[in-house]
Amino acid sequence: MSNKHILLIDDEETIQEVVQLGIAIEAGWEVEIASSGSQGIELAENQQPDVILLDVMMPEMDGIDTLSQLKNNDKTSAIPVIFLTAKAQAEEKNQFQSLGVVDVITKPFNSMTLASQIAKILEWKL
Amino acid sequence: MKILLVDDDLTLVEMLTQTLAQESYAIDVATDGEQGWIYGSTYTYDLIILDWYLPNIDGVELCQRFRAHDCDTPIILLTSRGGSQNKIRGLDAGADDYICKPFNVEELTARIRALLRRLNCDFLPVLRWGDLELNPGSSEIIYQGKSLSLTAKEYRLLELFLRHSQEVFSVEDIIDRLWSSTEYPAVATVRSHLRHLRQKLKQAGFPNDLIVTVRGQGYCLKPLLNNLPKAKTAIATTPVNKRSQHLTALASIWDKYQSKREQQLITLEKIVTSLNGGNLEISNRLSAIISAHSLAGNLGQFGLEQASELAKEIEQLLQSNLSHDSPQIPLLSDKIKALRQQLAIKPSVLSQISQNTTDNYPLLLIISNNNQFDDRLISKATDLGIRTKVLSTPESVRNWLAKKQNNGEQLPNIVLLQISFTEDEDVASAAIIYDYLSLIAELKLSTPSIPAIVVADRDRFQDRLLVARHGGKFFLNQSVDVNQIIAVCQKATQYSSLGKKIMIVDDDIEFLKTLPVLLDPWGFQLTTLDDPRQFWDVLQAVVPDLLVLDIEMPHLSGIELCKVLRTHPYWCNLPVLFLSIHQDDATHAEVFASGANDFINKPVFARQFVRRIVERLNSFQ
Repeated sequence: MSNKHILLIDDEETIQEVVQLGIAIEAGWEVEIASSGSQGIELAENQQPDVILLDVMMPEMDGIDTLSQLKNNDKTSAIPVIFLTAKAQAEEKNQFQSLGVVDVITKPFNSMTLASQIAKILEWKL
Repeated sequence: MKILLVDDDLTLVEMLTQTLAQESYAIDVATDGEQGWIYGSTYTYDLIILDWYLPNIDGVELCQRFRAHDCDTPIILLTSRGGSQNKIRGLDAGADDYICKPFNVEELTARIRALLRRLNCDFLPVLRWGDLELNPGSSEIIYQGKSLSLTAKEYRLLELFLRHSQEVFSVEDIIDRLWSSTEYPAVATVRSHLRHLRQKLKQAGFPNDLIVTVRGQGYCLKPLLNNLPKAKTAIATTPVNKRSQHLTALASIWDKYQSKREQQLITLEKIVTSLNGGNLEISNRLSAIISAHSLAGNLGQFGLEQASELAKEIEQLLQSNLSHDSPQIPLLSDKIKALRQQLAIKPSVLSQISQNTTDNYPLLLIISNNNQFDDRLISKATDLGIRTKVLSTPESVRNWLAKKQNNGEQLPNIVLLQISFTEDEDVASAAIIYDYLSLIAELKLSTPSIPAIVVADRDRFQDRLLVARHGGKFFLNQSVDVNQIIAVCQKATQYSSLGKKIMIVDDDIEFLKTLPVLLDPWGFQLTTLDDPRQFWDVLQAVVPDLLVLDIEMPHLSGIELCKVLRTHPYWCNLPVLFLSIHQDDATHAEVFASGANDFINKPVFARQFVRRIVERLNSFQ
């Protein structure tokens, strides 16, 4: 099982823990946590994760703004981003993809198979 | 770390006490041999320093007394008596080191550190836990290249856990280890030090709680499970374990945020009050919207889709700028009440944890037609946490077992058969007995094997022989006390393979992939590892009941791993099987010399492999 480094940008502590544990148990990948868009951008620059899971609805800097900054930054523009978003907004998937998002995972997601979902989106071998 | 210093030279005692206290050791002082004996035999110390010339009992005699009473605490004799003969006498008395006065204090403290390292089998001078390093020599703590600043007590706490990474320490244990016997810190003081330590580690960026609370027992170091993926190692655990592990983790998170959810509900309820009172402030509305949004996002993760939908609807209502006379307020209030009701019950997916927890209790299947016997047995079994199921005939048992297997449900750990050998010795009765015996044989051959205990109405050798021939585990006379029957049942479960943790280290990934199919049906919890460099971390995380090693592997051979294992007091008795294509005598000799318990040649057949594993497990009960 190949090792991957995931960066999760989500302000919700519960989601942070659920994602971290679910991915660790299913795939053994390391999950870095950022509680805000600005923190996430800094971590993405420094740590160059293999993928960024980005919540859409966040206070101060939402997921759209964070994505924009990531894509306009040479250091982070190539890192694939997957949005985590509530069901109602999944209808805007095409719109999100035009902004540079690879795919959208809707909440609530199955934390036991989240790693598989990510691997499938990015065509990684689990 | 706690030291007992036994010396009547008060000047020296004062100097040493100050020096060692600066190194954050807790010191107890005794000024004569008798007092030293009382302290040493009452409290637990990491090291004892003895002067030779002591009032009442001299240091050498005291050392001999400690050793005669199985005290294996390291002892340093610190004495003005030089010369080889005295040194020989002191070391032969059981001392681990002999230092002549006058001595260099720095040398003494270095020797103390060296002795303590040996005690804890820390061959390397630096204690490591993932990216955390503690250097006892310099008292430095480094995490990811950055130095951590801890108080003396916080340092000693961390050192205690790192040195005893497999142990759980209660508050009383911690006080015993880190405070002198003349100090009486409050429980709250200890917890405060722990809390500050945890906070500092978290602030330093340590990703998870390093020190975990074990309910009802105390505190221990968290296994390095989350660090394992960095090593790019193929570590696989069986799917059943992952689901169970996942649900357990989810349940912990659910419990952890209970108070946060309560606060969010209270925020929502206050909004309704404010709206009805016509005094809703914008900031409170925003807080309520955030609370509803948070609940909407989180509850679905725990399977509470309905509750999540409710929270979303509440969020939407709040966003619609309700005024105090809005007709939507009663609707909002109802939704919030409904949400509270839904959150009062633990999510059903997590209540599987509770079920899984009791599912882990042994299951005793009783085949009997004697209600009185059954009731007594069931009552006793229940008291001891053993679940029971009663069936009356072998046929009903076969049907029930088949159904259990088809549904993937837990099979019984033990089967107890009440057999009457004395009833009407005719063909019909013989057929019934034969049916029971056939069932016993089927249980023995099943996957996994289920031990059968026969409770007979008479105790004849011929009956016992029949049962033994058919694979029965134990034969009891029904006059035996119910408590004894239960004790035998408990003993029989130790022979079960169900739930035993097996760790297999082999660089042949293809071989490792075949093992779950091979071993899962037997109920083992399997962990495989293809990189021997991660052996020690994985071993400590998994805590297996048995280890299987390949011989030839890159970086570290199985023989080297076995040798290292045997040097650690905690692991020195772990059953180790070697699995290899090498069949020559020299390899066999080398394997067993390293401390192995068994050797199986590849290619291996499932039943043979499992039989050898079970035999090894049983021989170590």
